[in-house]
Amino acid sequence: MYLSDRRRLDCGFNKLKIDLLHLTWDNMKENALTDADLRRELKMLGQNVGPITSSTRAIYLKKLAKLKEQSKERDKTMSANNDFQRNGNRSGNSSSNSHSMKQTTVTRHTFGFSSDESDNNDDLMKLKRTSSRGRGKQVKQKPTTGTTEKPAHPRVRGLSGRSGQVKRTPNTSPLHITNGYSDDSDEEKLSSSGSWIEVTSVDTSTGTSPHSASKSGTQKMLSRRSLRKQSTCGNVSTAFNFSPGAPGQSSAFNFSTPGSMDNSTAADAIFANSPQNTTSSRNFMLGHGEPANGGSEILRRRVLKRPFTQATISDEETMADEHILQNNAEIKTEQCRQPSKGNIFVRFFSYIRSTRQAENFQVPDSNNSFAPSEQPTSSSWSLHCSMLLPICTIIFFIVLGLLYVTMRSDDAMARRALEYTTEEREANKTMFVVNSIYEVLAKAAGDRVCNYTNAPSILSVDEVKLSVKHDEGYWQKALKMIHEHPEWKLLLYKNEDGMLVEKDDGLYNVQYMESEQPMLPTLCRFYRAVEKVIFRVGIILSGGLCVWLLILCRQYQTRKQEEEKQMMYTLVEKILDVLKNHYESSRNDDEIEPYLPIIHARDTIIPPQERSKKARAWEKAVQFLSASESRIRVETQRMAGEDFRVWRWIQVISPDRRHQAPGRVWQGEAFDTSRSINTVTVSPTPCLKIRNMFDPESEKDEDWHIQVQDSILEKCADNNEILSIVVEKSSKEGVVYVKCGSCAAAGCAFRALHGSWFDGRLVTVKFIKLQRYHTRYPDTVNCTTPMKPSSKKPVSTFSPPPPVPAAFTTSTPLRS
Amino acid sequence: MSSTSQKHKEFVGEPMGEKGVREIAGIGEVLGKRLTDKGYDKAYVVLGQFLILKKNEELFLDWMKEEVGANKKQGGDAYSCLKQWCEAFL
Repeated sequence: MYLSDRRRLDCGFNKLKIDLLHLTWDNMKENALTDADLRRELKMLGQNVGPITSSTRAIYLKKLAKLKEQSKERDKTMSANNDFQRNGNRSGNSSSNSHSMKQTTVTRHTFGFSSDESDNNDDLMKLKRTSSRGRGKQVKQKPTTGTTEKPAHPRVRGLSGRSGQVKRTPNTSPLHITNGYSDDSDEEKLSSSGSWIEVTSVDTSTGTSPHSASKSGTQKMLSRRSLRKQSTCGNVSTAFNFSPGAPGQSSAFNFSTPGSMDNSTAADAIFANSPQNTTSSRNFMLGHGEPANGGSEILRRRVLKRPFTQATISDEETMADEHILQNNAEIKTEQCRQPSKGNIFVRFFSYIRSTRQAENFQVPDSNNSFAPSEQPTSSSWSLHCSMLLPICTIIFFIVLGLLYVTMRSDDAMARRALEYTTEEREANKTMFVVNSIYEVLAKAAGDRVCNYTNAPSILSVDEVKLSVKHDEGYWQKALKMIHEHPEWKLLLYKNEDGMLVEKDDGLYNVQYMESEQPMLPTLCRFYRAVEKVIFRVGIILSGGLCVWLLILCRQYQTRKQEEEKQMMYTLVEKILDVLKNHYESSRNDDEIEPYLPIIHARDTIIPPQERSKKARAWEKAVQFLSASESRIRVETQRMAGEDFRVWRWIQVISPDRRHQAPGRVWQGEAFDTSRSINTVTVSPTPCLKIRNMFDPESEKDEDWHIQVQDSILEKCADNNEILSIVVEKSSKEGVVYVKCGSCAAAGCAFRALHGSWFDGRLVTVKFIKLQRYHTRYPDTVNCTTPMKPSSKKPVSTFSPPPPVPAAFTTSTPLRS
Repeated sequence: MSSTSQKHKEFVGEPMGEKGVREIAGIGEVLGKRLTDKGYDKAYVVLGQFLILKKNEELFLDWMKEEVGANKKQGGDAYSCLKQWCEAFL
């Protein structure tokens, strides 16, 4: 049996056989299951089970098997997951691996860093030993304010030189933090340019703060590294301005040959020169340099901020430094990627500073006061600040400059005058007198200006004489000199009216004197300067504010206009809808006029609360309609004894709109009844029962049954044997009974009516027995005359077939 | 409009009455013969089975496959055809 089965399998009906085998096997297995059991099982698995009959049983059995398998699989997978978890599932492993990888990389970074450092350190040490005396001298230099400039310069130069080069030699060290980082590790590859070396050297110097020379090596490395890192960012440019600083040292740092030797030298020198970076060592901020000192400190710090930010100067382990450096480097790179606006400012600022020569370059040390606390996470904020602070400092200094200038201008003249006078040493006494006169007058004038007293600055000669110690002779000489030197701006008046003493007049006529140049005390000057500056700044600011306000106003206006426009359009649409509805209702109802007063429309559309608010929009809408709506005409009509401006809708709406109740029309055929399999070829009876012709509840017209009758008659226009039509007005199904003269006529009618759409409903026709018809309507038994439509006018048909809004087409009754 | 065939539309448009089983969308000559051989000679018998399976698509498809080897498309067509018919006339 089994063997023969197998052979049959070999014949090729493998699948079928297997299926059958499965079925039989399943059946055998499941035979024990009764229907109830099967149902229960399926219900337990959440299935909504229907009746289990002979036909459905197999299906449900299959379903049961499938569900059981699924549940088994689910259990398996659950356990499998547990196992995975216990063993540290793959994902976890991978993540942990990656994590550990990261750790290792981090540590490797640090290790690599330090190892490189140590290597470099060794090299450096060796090189140091071989360094020349000059270098040694430099190393021994104590940090002084003057010498602090030097580190800046070479560094600056180095940075500037390096500005063009961002590309570093490929990094071979495990430190892949930044290019600079990698460069750090590869000192030998610093052969790119001397400038770069300078940079590095500078870096080291800046980085290391108050470390002793013994530590210089590591510090150098650190700072160098940091510098390198930074330098990749192109901060090089920031330092270039320091070149005009120390010519002496610059030559020393003019490295042309790359090599760690030079680096070390420079580093040593710079390092030694760098003054106490203690304070700054801990807190270098990336772009935050919060100065503990005054503005100048900020300035300095700002200037060298960029290059030195990386300087992790901490006395602690290099590890920490490296981390910090790492962070800094990352931040730096980020900063570098930025358009480095701050750099420009710093550069500009530094340039200003250098030209002013105001500050000595304490910068290196003070610049080291960047806190390493800033983590990469706050880099964005740091970047922000880095841009903000330079701007602030620049503004501050601009203000300062303005103040200075204005202050200067105040007493420039005075000074000049006095200087001028002091230059002439002919008559000291006379000059002394003149000076004293000047002082008195200037003071009076100054009082007048500064203290806002109304005391006249014109002092009478007597008053002046009183205040000034003099001899009469000298007095006259002084007057004469004053007269001859109009540039001293001491005016001599003849009388109170301010008439100046002419050249030819005798000096005896001098009654009053005045100094045109008030001598203002410093504080007053300062105040005035401040006022002036503030005034100007205020004007500028207010001007800017006005402009900004104007822009805002304009935006607001445009926005408001847009809103109004939108409002207007919505109103217009609503008006159109209202008018259309009104028109249609007026068409249907003779009592409603076809026009609508504008006021009424408004009141219909806009609720009372909003009428005043939307009045303007309404007016605009009305204008819009009268201007650009062609379907509405504005008229003046008399309604209820009052004249109204009305809108009349003058578009004729075509009647075949769906929602407008096609009004009992035949709308086409659903299917072809002539060839349909359902059509009986021979009509059994002459009587038809037509269903779904109407809906008794929605019929509102009178004589609608007449309309229905007429419709049927129209539809069967070629059939002149329709004897009676009875519309069952009360039937829910819209039943109409038709009696025809003969069975053939009934068949014709059947074919014409069955499956047609009428008034949106699908009509179905049935044959009924003649007796039943007669029992229902005994009075039609003797009808013989064919019915005719009540009027000649076709009410329910159209010559052109209207579009049928149905799923069925009328024109293609194809059989599939 | 929809992706229903003409056959579908015709079937769904009117009461099935005594239509044969081949009138159902998705059931052609071959499947129709198979169904007839199994005893489902009229559309309403298949409808009966459809209703017994509580108009469940999955079960109906399974059944069609089991009984006459209808593939997913054929079964799906028949299912939607019967479903719509029920919505319209049941």
